[in-house]
Amino acid sequence: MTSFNHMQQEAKEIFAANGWPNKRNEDWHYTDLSARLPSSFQNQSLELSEDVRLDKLTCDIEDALQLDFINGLLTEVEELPDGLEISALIDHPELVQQSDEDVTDPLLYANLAHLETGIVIDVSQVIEEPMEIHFHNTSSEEASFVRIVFRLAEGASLTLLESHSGWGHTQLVSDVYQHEDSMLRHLRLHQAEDTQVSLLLNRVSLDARAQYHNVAISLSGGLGRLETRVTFNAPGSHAGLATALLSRGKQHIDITTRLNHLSADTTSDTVARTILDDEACGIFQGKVIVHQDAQRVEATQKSDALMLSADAMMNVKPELEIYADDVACAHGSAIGEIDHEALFFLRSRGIGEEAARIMLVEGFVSEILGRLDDFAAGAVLQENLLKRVATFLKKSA
Amino acid sequence: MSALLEIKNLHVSVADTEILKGLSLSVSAGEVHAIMGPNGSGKSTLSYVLAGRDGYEITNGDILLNGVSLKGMNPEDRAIAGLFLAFQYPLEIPGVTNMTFLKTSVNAVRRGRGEEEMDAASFLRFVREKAKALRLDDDMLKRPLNVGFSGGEKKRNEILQMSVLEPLMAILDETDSGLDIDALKTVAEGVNALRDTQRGMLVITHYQRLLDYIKPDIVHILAGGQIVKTGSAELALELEKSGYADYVGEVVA
Repeated sequence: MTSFNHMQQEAKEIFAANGWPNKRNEDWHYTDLSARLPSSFQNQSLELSEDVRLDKLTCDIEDALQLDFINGLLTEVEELPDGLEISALIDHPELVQQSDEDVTDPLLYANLAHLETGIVIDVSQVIEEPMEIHFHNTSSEEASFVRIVFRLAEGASLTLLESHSGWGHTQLVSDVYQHEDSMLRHLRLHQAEDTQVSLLLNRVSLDARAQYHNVAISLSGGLGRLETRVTFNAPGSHAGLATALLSRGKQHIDITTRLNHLSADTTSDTVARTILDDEACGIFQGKVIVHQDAQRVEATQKSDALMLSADAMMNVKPELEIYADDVACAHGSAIGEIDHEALFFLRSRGIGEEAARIMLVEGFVSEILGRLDDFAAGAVLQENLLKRVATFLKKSA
Repeated sequence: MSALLEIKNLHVSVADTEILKGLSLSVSAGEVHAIMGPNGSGKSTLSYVLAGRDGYEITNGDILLNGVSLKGMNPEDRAIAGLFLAFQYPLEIPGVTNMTFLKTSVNAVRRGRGEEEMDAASFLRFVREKAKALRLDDDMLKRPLNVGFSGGEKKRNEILQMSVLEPLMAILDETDSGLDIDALKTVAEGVNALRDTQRGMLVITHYQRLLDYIKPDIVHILAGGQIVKTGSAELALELEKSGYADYVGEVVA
């Protein structure tokens, strides 16, 4: 067995030789990091900052479990309920090796080379309380490199609320292993300062009848990539990915999804709603791969973008790669402006132009927020997020 | 008594083509006027220009509501001033519930009129009562605005908006289109319940049928962008027999 240190050393060498992902890698065509990031990070803080006020999702959810990463370091962990256990990734080199085996994403090497904190979270039963993992950098010099492995045992379930705030650079790799009949509901809120770089890679592996529901909301941040890769290993597994991306200024946010249907009788459903203002750049690249033996797969993928400014740019790359013959797959993509007729209709009812625009945009993203209905504390979360969306839109106006 | 709505020699162009060519009419409080006309006579243009839609340019003439010109006034301010247009094709707005929309609308108008906004509880009572009168059930208030509504439900929902906004002057644009006879009766009942000595109505329609249920005081015939004839309710019945051919010819000649 290769040791963790050995793997990290190897990652450092590969990163030193290849650098950040760039245009030469097709997956990174629209988001060339080599031009945007320093070749290395010198200022990795190893000290915890005290008295940081965090704008967390669970501020108004009483029984939520909390894990805070400040500048890439895990702060004190409160007592966890039965069925939840945390251990250090350094003691599980096999997990790193296993996840990286067939993935050659250059970002993984960058993450491992700089890794500050790696943990493994084992979920062995149904956890009722939602768990928030919050990432915050206290200054623009801070860079966080974190890797978390989630393992859900047979029949286990968890509502995971992942949120990002602050400045600097955050790189997170989350690996999710879901055993039979397990369920992970995963909300990812990306709401950082306008200079922040967030590279969030999320890899999910599903066994029989495992369900993964992801809702991702990106509200700001300078440069971001929210990537989710799901592998369907056994029948009955299902993934639902719903993303709302709202961007303005000169932000560049990239939503990438890869759904790899290895097994027959698996289903996926991807929906992305993008709203771009000013000179923002949005990217949606979604790929569904159905392997030769994966019959009776049902996969749908839909991307809709609403352009609020003539200077904004949206790149959409939907891909279906199907090798099986008995499947039901569909993808669709639309890019448009605010519906002027709808705007006139609302205004004719006394609603001011700005309020009417906000109402239409909120309506556009509400389908995504609606996916939180089944989450623990779903109603509270929806209300919280709707407020954040409204604030974003007012600032944008 | 001065007119509630006064349209004076109105000329309107859409994309440089003149559609209304000197239309004049006036509606006093308490009156219901009908405008009938063949396709292409300018009926929809009239309703949109009254409501203030972009792209409808007034090249001459004026529109006065309670003596105040609507020229240059944006759609939301016209609604606050008391104008209401029931759309021929009500818009579907996914993701916005009917209730949220109604509350936002009512409170925007109240704010604009210098009245106090309604809180959630009193608005709920208020809107439920109005909805009940139109046989719209609670479920339709919770659903996204007009999404998946039948033609009749959409039109009843328009009348619901009218009843909660309590306009001075209501314009009903082809409210009968797409309705079967039962839906038509329900919508007409709703409209009739809103007839009021303080309120004016302008019912725009192609067919006489609607006027069997909403009895107008005065009927105008619109052809070629002008009012070519004005008469009593009987004029609509005549028209039903003889058709528009005479009037269309008149203008062409």
